Amino acid sequence: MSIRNIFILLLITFSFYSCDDNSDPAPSNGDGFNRSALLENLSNNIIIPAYEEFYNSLILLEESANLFVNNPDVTNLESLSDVWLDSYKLWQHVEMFDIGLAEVINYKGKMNIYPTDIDLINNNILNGNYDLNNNNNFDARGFPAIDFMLHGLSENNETIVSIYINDYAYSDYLLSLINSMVYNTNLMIEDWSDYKIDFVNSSGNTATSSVNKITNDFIFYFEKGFRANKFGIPAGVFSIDPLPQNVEAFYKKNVSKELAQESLLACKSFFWGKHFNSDIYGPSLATYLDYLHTSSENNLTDIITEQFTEAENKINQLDNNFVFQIENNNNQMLVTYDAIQAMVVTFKVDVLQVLAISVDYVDADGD
Amino acid sequence: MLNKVKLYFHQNTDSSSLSLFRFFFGFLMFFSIIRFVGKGWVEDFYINPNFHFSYYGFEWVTPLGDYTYLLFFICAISSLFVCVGFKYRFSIIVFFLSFTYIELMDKTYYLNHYYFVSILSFLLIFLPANSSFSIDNILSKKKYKTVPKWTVDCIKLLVSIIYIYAAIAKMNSDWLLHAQPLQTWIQTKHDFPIFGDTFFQQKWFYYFMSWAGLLYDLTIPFLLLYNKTRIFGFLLVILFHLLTVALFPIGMFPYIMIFCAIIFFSSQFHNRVINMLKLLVLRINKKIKFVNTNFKIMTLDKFEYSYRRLVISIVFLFFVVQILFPFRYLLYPGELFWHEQGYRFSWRVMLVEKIGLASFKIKDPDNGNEIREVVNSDFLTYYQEKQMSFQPDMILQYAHYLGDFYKNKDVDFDGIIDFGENIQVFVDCKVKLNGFRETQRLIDPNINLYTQKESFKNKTWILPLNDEIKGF
Repeated sequence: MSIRNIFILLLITFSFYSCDDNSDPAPSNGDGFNRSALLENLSNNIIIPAYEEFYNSLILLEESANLFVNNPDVTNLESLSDVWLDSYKLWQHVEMFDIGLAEVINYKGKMNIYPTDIDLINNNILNGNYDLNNNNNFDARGFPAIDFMLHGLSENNETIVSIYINDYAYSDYLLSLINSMVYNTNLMIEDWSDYKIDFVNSSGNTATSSVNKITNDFIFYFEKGFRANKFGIPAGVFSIDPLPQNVEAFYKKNVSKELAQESLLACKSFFWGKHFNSDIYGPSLATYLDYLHTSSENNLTDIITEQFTEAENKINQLDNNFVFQIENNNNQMLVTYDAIQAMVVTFKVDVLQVLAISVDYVDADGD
Repeated sequence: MLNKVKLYFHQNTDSSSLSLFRFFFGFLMFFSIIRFVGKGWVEDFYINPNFHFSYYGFEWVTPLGDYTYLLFFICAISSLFVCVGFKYRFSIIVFFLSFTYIELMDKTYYLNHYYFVSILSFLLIFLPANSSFSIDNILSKKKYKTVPKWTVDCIKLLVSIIYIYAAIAKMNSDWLLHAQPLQTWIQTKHDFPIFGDTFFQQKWFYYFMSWAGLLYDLTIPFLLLYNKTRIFGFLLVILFHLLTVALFPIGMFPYIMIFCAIIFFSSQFHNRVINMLKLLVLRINKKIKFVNTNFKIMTLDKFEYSYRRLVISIVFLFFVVQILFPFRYLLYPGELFWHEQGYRFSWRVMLVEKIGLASFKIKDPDNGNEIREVVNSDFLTYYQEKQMSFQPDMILQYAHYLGDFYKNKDVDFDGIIDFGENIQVFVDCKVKLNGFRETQRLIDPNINLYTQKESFKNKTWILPLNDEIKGF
């Protein structure tokens, strides 16, 4: 056996063993686009400020609820309802970040599953024996449950107030709902103070690296949380008949559009890297796409800008109350859905191809 | 001329080449199957999904529930038997059948190298790969010093066909003039050590890789064939395939191709490797005293086929099909990369980047009921949906599945059938091909797919690509 042949065999053996590990290679940020800067911007200027602001709004909600429970009257109910809406709108800015601990504990599933199950809620109130952190209660908690507790117990506010006066179990449930939301959101804020470092450092291009995960989260939210939940399902896109009872904030009635607008705003801000509560823009998916995009004739981010505007315009034309809109002119709701669906195509086809993102949970050989 | 051909078929060569190839092939296949099962893919790909995309004419090939594991077990055992040359002919037939059955169960997971393994194992059925260095030699107490030369050459021919056809497939304007899809793939591998943020961000590098890839595929069989260039060629084989391993989630394919290239080496080399392996086996045997090595094996000069003419005819026919089959796409009008009619089984490896989104609509024209959009994830796994979304034959099959599912069904549980016999299925499917091209509709959205039948005929409901790709 000559040295040459040994060398060849060694090479074969080496090649065989050296290549089956798919571990995350060390991050590098020296190319034309700095992904760590993108992740810094997303976490420092968008995600964490949004969480903090949202948490503050929940504290306000808690205070307002205590005030109402101790002095149940119509004025306090109405101001509680206002604080609830403010908080619900801020929620639209954090729902998409299903990453880190949020993903592990199914945070969004604890906050905003609708339609809410009023039988389950009534049952919980009657029994007084419930664990809101238990996933059996997934549709008896969060904002939709509070919506029912504040606006759905009766047609008029006086009766609702009297229910709270007559039976403290309702107050108890209301406070428990808010308490659980405060608790879980606090977990998020604590998690992000540690998680942020990992988030920014994981700047590679693997299924588990941050840019890929957060992009997938964003697109998933846009498709499911925004498109399907707020428009598609209630408008009956996935069923034979429309399901108006499935709109967001069904019991409050006239705010489903406002919440949807806020959600679209959150998506837009995320895509463009706009700092939360400020007009400053930083590195974002948009600037990354501009860096990578190769076509000369049409600019992908220009197309997305137009599509955002189109979707905004369509939503603005809808009635404040989506139930009313669906029952009276569902076609307009469907037209709006189509404008949003066009964006889903752009995100899932164009954006994902340009970013060449290894998508979550797909694990197979290619060729 | 005819004499020369006749003479060629009577030439013999050392049996070690075939035997070593058999050993490596069996070993790699065993390893591949263990890896596949170990990754949990049997469960994920074949047992969990409710629906499977079958090949036209092979609809009867379906996963066997939990018994699918048994199938993989049989496949693994037979590959091990092939490796050691135990009941070789029977084992390789079992391997060919079980492996091919596995690949036919769902075309979602089609890979060129699985097809290669299938046809190679078919070819191996007809080759005397257990003539030496096999347990069969011990059992039959005889081995053969030489085998017909063509039996070794036909493996070289098959490997050469793959490389050359892969080269031909790259001769198109997207690959050579736009450096796509390589640019899309390489550019985003910024986390690749050393090259990621340097070469991988350079335009010239995408072109260099595209052209070098073509040149590599085109020349490698010839570099391997000639004595003087063989070592160089083999080093290139290793380098190239390791690069693909590092860049793409390409599984076992590179390793299989590296090992296949060894067949091109001289029989002296194969002999030396075999002797080394034998020594190793004997040494281990001595330590653990596994078997008594006092057996006598008679060495016969050359292996002779009992049905020589028949075997040669089958192998000849096999290669005629191999050479013609990849060109069947010429029978279909339009862009092959777009409609994919005749795309599979043609060595089009890592050739296009496609992403699609397909949304299906169910309609009953009689009562006006419709579901505007089916939630695909209710029926398909993520991977199935991804693959289906840009492949017309899979779209058609899924449309039929949906039609069958919703026909005569009371969807909203109100006691009334919502979709009757005349149920219609439509698709709105948008696809992006190779990065720089605009996303475009793939299927005519006004065609009721439920009345369209799968066949080898041109699918007229596929919309043409608004662009021309020049070349093969």
